[in-house]
Amino acid sequence: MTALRRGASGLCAVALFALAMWFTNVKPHIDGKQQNPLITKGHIGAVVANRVFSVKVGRVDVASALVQHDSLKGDRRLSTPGIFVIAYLDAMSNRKPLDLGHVRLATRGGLSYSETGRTDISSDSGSFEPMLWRPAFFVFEIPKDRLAGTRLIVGQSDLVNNLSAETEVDLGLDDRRAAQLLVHPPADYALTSS
Amino acid sequence: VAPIAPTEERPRHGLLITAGVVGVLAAVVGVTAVFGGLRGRPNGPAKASAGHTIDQGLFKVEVLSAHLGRIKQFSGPSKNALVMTVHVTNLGDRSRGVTEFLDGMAAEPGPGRYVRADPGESTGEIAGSSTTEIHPRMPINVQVVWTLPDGAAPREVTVAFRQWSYGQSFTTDIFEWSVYKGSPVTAEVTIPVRPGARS
Repeated sequence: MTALRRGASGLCAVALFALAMWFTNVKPHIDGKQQNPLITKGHIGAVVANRVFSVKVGRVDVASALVQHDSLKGDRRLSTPGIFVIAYLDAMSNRKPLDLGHVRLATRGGLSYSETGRTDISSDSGSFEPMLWRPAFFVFEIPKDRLAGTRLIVGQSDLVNNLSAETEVDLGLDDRRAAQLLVHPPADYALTSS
Repeated sequence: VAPIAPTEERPRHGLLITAGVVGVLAAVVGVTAVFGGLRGRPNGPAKASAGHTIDQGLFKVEVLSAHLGRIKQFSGPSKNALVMTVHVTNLGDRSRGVTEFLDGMAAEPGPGRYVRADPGESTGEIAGSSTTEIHPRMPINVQVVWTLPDGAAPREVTVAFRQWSYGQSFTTDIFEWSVYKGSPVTAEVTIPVRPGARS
């Protein structure tokens, strides 16, 4: 009995040692090798500034279908099985001409959505200059049940490293507001191309 | 001088440890036997046909159809092509490009010979318009295109889907989904090819 107990306690000790090694040795190494940008958090309607750029999200619209006016090919209507989320923001560089990148919509439950990727929607490109605010918009496409609690994340277009700047903006879409927006989303939302 | 501890105790103690070890070994063998032993399971890719759902780990795929068609390019004559329509769901936690999905599949004209699809010609399609992204939990159709030599008209096509694996990258140590040429083939789908319109 004592031998059994001794064996069990021995195994227990080895397991605890292994766990301790994981926490003190292995995990910091894994975490240390991750390239995580420095995140600044803020809210819709407020200027959220970091070392590299400043962003102010002005408005967020949702739509069940987009209409793009095109004088050459005629109007095109884009529908979606989910819902379109259009975020309007003003941005300004704080240092040097800058391209925004790694733009995504983070939803509850850890799923994140890049810009829609529809070839009919020209994505907003072009650089932001220091000291000059410039408007921009981003179009996303997400399942309807993911709308509540979404946050807009904007970063730099460069390769991510530990000093990259990223801004996370809470879009203020709580459950009530999201439900409200989903009751009658416009089906003829005109996307004003930049 | 204190007398040496009685020696009758030691063999009994040893016997107990031996019995314990034998017991544990017996239990391990027994448990292994219950779960099917150590003999290899029948392995190799599952054979599937149109309409079956294939789980690649990162993507859930259903092959819908295949047909021959002509692909128009910016300049030059149109090309003979094999077009396969697949229904793809992204099971990951972030959006993936259509080209990333194409990395995990290839046509298999002969056993062990794999031909990658043409990423420039293949397109995604959601709600009737073309897209380049596969968003999580938003299934899309992907038109997978292989350009063929003129005159080639295969009656059927076999496509191999590889298993995406989630693990640490060899070079950066970051945990990520990956698929490469040597990834195991999780399913092979053989479907007939409809002859396409001539133009």
